Amino acid sequence: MIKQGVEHFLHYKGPILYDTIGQLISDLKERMFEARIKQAVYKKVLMVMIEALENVFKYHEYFEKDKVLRKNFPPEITIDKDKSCFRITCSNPVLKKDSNELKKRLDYINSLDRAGVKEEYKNIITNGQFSEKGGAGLGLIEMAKISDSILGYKLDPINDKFEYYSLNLIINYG
Amino acid sequence: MKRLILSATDYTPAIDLNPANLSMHFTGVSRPENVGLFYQQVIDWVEEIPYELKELGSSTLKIVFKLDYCNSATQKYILIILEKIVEIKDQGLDLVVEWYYDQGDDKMLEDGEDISDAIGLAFNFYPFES
Repeated sequence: MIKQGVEHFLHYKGPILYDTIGQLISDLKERMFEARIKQAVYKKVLMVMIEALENVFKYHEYFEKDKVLRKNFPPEITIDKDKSCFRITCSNPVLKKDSNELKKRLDYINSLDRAGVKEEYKNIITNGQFSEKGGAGLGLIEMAKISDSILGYKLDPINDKFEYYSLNLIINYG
Repeated sequence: MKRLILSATDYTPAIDLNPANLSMHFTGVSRPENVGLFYQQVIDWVEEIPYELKELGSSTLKIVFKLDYCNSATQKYILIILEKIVEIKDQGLDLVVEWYYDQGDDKMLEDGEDISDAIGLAFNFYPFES
């Protein structure tokens, strides 16, 4: 059920390929232009969306081959707009063996204040190594830099190998 | 040392690395599918500078970023490229970094400030009207 005053600004459910992200960037730009959203807010929502989706894309082959996951637990992104903020939720399956590390990382970032987030960004951009998937390890901290809320998350069990990860955050406007 | 010119795409910036006036320009958006592969050509170009420094027309390298947006992996590569250039500074290279941002775009300004802070190199910031 959609809460009163909440508008589904952008929604996509399905496989995240590289070009899918490009299409969603175009869709978001168009919607932001129509809604006359300020450039500063648009850029923040855009960058959170890109970082979230690129992270899904990096790991997509782990679950794209699994027919049940593809059908019942596809990646999904929702951007809702209400009176004062955008709420961005991005969900996708993650390997259960990776979820503890992910949870630890999210909890650590959420324990930092604004200055701590900046310091962690500086630490990772200076000392971090690229992963074999080409990630710079900056995605979550970049989203934390932009977000006006903590990085809310949920990890729900799917089966013995996968969990369904949902990340949500808020960007204020107006 | 050859001039490297790349046209912008939907995912990658226009790049102009020009030895004639010793300048590097990055314009547009940056979220390459393979960020390492894309920026390696820039790193290769930068790594040639020390060998040709005496032959180059200028000893001041001007680096101009005018990006609409860049993902976090690009930010990391900008840092890597600037680190390589800072190493050359000791060999007699002066460096000017210009970071342009849309005047309504706090995010791009902040990205520049954070990269500048991380590498300990002063950038000149210039707002522009889109």
